[in-house]
This record gives sequence, C-alpha cells and structure tokens, in this order.
Amino acid sequence: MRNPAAVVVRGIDRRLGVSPLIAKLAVKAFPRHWSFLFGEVAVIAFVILVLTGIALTLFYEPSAAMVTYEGGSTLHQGREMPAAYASVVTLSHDVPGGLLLRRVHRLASHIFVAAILAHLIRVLATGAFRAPRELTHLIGVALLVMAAISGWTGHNLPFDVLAGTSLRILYALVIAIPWVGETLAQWLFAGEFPTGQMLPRMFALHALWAPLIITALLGLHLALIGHQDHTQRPRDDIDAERYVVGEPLWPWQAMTSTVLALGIGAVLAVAAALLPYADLDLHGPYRIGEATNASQPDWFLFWVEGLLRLAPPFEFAALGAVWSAPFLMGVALPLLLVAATALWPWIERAIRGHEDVSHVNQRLHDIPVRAAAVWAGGTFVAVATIAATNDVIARLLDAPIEIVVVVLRVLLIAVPLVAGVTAGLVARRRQQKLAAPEEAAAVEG
Amino acid sequence: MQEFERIDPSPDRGSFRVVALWALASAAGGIGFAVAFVLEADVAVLGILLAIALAGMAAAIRRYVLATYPQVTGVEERPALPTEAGSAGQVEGVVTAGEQQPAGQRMGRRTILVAGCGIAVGLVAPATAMGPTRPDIGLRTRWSDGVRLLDDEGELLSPAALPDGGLDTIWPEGPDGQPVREELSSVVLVRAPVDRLRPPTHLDGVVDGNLVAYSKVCTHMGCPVGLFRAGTGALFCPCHQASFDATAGAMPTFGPAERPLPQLPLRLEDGVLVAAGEFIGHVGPTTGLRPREGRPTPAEIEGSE
Repeated sequence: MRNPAAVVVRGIDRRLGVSPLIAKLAVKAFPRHWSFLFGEVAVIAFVILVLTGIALTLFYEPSAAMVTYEGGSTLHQGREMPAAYASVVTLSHDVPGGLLLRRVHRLASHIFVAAILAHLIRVLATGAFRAPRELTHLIGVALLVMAAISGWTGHNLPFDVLAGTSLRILYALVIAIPWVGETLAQWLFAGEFPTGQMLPRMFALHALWAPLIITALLGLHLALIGHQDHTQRPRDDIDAERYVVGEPLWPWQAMTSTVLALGIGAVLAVAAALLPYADLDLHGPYRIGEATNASQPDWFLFWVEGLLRLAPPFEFAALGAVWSAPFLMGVALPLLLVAATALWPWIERAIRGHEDVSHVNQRLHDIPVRAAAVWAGGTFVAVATIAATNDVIARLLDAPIEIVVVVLRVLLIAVPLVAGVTAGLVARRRQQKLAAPEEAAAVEG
Repeated sequence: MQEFERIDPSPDRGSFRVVALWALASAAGGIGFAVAFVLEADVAVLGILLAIALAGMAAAIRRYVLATYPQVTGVEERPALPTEAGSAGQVEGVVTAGEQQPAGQRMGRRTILVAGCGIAVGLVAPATAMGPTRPDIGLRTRWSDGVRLLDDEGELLSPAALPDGGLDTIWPEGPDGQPVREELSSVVLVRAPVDRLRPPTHLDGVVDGNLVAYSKVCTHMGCPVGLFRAGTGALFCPCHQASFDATAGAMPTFGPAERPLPQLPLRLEDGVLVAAGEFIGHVGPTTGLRPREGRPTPAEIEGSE
C-alpha cells in the first residue's frame, strides 16, 4: 500500500514542480524550547476563534432594537431587552450546545491575547527583536493591538451592562482628544452616544475586519519567520549564529503542533464545562443610565482602566484645545507605551549607539538599558492593572477607597522607578564582571 | 538539514497497543458527544465528552509518532544576509535608476507624487459621511422650565416620595407623558442628609431645603452616577470611583472627576416636582475642543452665599 501522504505530494509535484520546496520545508529545523511555543499557541487559539466565531455569526443579531425574549431562560422570559442581548440569551439557553460554543470562543480569546503577550515578553527579554528581525517584531505588536481590539469588540457584542459601560467610556475617551475628539467620536459612533449604529459597526469590525487584518498580518509574520529562520538559545556544541539546530517540521514539529492544538481544545472544553463563565444572567442587558459596581473591562485592558482610576483630576485649555487627565493618562500614555514597545528595536539601537545583528537569544540582564526598560515598563503596566480593581481591593481589605488610591498612585511611580534602576544596575555590574577578565588580559598584554 | 542527534523508536517510547487504546477513547468521546448533543445534554456533559475526544486523539498521535519515527534533531546553515556590495547594491541600482534621468523627467516624477497627495485628500473626505457631527455635544437636553420629573416607572413625583437619604433616577416627561430615556437628560434626585444644602449649590433650585437634582452623567467618563452614601451625602460613580458631595453643589471630593455634576434647578407646581430651567453647567465628560465650566472659584462660592 502506498503512503497516502506520498501520493498527495507526488500528485502536487507532477503539476506544480514544487517537490524541492516541500522537501526543504519538511526538514526545516525548529529550535526546541517551551517558550518558543507561545506564538504557536496564539495561532491555534486564533484558528479556534475563527471556527467557533463562524458558528456564532449564525445566531447573533447586531441590533439594539428592543424585543421581548421568549424562551427557556426563566430569568429573562417575557422581558424587554435589546435584540443583541436577546439573541445571545437564546443562543445560551435555547440552542443545543450554544453555551459551550460561547464559552469556548470567549475562553479562546483570553488564551489568544495571553499567548501573544507571553510571546512579546519572551521576544523583549531575549533580544529576539534585534536585526534582522525588527519587522517581524513590529508586525507582532500590531497583532497584539488587533487581538486587543478583537477582544474588546467581542466583549461588547452581547450588549450587557458591562458592554454598554465600556462603549460609553470609549466614547468619552475619544471626545477627550484635543481638537478632533468630538468629530472623531461622532464619526466612529455614527452620531452622539448611544446610537443604533454602534452594534452593527462593532460586529463588522469584530467578525470581518479584525480577523481579515489579523490573518494578513499573521501570514506576513510567519512568512518572515520562515524566510529568516528562528532565533535560538546559545549552544555550547555549535556556532548558533551560523547554524540553526532543531526538530524537523515533518513529523516532529507537525506532531508537536497537532498535539498542542488538540490539547488546547481539550482544556477549553473542560474549562467551558466546569466554569460558569460568560453567563449573561450576572449582569443583565444594558439600559441607559445604569451601571454596576465592579465594572471592569477584560483583563488585558485593566492597565488603561487603572490609569483612568489613578489619574488625579486636572484639565487646562491651551492652543485652542482642552488637555485633560483622561486624554493624557487614558489615551496618550497607553498609545505612547504601545508605540515605544513597537519601536523598541530602533530605540534600543539609538541608545546603545550600535547595531547588533544576531540570531542568538540573550538573557534579559545582558543589556542594562533593555533590562531597565522591560522591568520599568512591565511593573508600570502591572501596578496599573492592579489599580483597575481598586474598589475590590478596598472591599477585601476593608480599607477606605481614598487610601487605596493614594497608595496605588505612589506605587505606580515608585515601583517602576525602583525596578528599572535596580535591573539596570544589576545588569551593568554583571556586564562589568564579564568584561573584567578581558581588561586584565589587555593590561598584561 | 543534516542529522545532529538521533533517538530510535523503541517499545518504551510508545507501543501500538497504547495508540489504539487512546484512539478508541477518542472515538468514544466523539460519538458520546454526538449522542449527548442530540439529547440536548448540559454544557458540562458536552464539554467533558468533547475534551475526551480531543485529548484522546492528542495522546494517540503523540504515541504513534514516538513509536514510529526516529526522533531526529537536525542542523541547518543559516542563509547569509546580503551585503552592501552584493545583492543589496543591485536592488539600489534598480530603485534609483530614475535619478540617472535628465532633470525634466525628474520633475515629472515630483508632479506625480504631489498629485498623489490630492488623491489622499479626496479619499479622506468621505470619512465625514461616517456620522452626523454636531458641534453641541452635551449641550442639548430635554430639560427646560416647567418640564415635569418622572421616575423610572413613569410616575410623577411629590417631594414626600423621597425619604431622608433617598436617591431616585429621574427622566424628563415627554410630549406623550412618558419618560424620555435619553442619557444626557438622566438625573439623580437626592434627599441630602442635612437640613440645608451648602453653596455652591444653587439654593433657589432646591425644594424643602435639602431635595436637589443633579445630572446622572459622570463628568469623568460619562458613567451613570448611581450610588449614594446616605450617611455622608456622597454621590459615587461605580466605574472609576469619582465622588461628589451632594450637600454642596455635587463638587468632586475624591477620585478622577474634575468638574461638579451640573445641578438641575427644581420647583413645585401643583404639588409635583418640575424643572425650573436647564442644567446649570455642561453635562457629561470633558471634550478636547471647548473648555467647560470648571470648578467654581472660592470667590464664586462665597458670592452665592
């Protein structure tokens, strides 16, 4: 019996003459380390999101028009609610497997963002963004931004209280932009908040444009990696700058990917079975003029929410515009941090004053400026993230919210400062120690 | 790729009997899922069966590959990056070929670039069709002198309806007698826990000395200011914890809000509460274009006393 895979490959080759390419691809070496799998986890999560998302589009109705729900949910039976919310209640309670579908999609979206974030941290920490891979890094940050946009728009589609609140806050953030904010917000929302166009536009962005853009960026990202080969950790047994050592794509890397994909699917299924997650009954539909305690966005936007909560109130007029704390802390600062992350390969090169072309991973503390930046930036985002739950912290500690906010404001400045300076100094001392024997040798020589 | 390391398949790395067991478990999970689905089983049952199907297949594939293929680690030489003198130089030659042309043709190229900016401007203009833009964000509400207050059920309000420390969400009455639930017109009616409100509250817009109405739209991010700490008279926004002193003109006392909640002046007409005019101040969050009325200065607060 002939191997069916061989039959397919031969059939394709007879028509296209691509067997040299396939042969080369099949033995392409993938360096082995668990931290190299974050990107792969993100791709798998994206595939799961697209597949479950296609199924979800069959049931979702992007409309804020008020309808009366009739169906199996006793909590919502006979009540008036936005059509979008009602369609999600119907999917959860009246469509077989609907709740499983929703939960898997929702959980996969968290894994998607988390995996990209972990991937980014690895790339920043190991210097994998250095020449010649700056473009790959830039596209990677764009993918993170698109993943966050997808997550945020998806979170809002059911149009529950949290969704309405987060739309209201985005609208307020956009109108706070100097000069153009009012106009821009009304373009985005098709008028003054709230409008009937919000849900159709968000649905198009979430279900059409975001996945299209992510697919294009992802294709480019993977093509660049394929073309340039992976970075790898330093090796004692071979010159890692010149040679790449790893498992061949076929069958080993293909097996790893398949097992990983099935494993993630199994984890999502178990989690969806056991966690009472993404249930609408907790919050109820959005109604104008209503919000709840403990209103938080999805975790990956906590840091922006935290900055909004910690910003001391101020606003001043200058240059014919108004400059307010929500704009400076809630819009400008987050965008600046994302831009600095995306442009870090060039920023680091400018600070260090020389280009460093390398295929080999470093340790974070090999480069003082990088160690300082990653620790300072990372802890800043971490403290801001914690600040997004300041009301919950105050309740748990039974402390006045006023005190919690003041303490967090101090920590937001102090922790990154201390962490950044310490990391930079530790890295510099390490560098000096490594350089010391050479200096001694130079003196002797 | 050249072979770098090799581990040959051996019985302890995976056997076909184990592969078959896992594959059968996976098939059982898959069929079980289909049956449970048709029987409209609970999400917990569906999830567990689906997980068995997927995890079983993962284990089977892993065992199969370990039992069948030698585990090879390979080594490849990385492709060399082009140098200035090599292929990069050729590309530059192609791209800059135009610069070898006479000056007249170079001008033609510039004209094309400038004309391209015209196309860009033309393509930006349609953005203005994305939504109607009004210059008066937060300035239009349904309140004016004589508009009656309705609660969430659409009932008229007498001052006695609100006890000490009470808070109610209020809407303006529309032409049809129904509440108009427009965000910018939403109001909180508060019975402050004091005998007399303090400036900068506009005291002539207060009923009974302590019954006062403020915009419900937070001046920070526009969330509804729906929480009331009756003991201290603090209005509280659940989104970012902005606090306002309902006993003193809803001035911000803590948190990220900069401006007070605008007050809606009230009066009594035929025993029910009606507005005595529009909001005093701009409703909603700060915009980046026009300065809003800020905090009253200490002099203004004293002056109104």
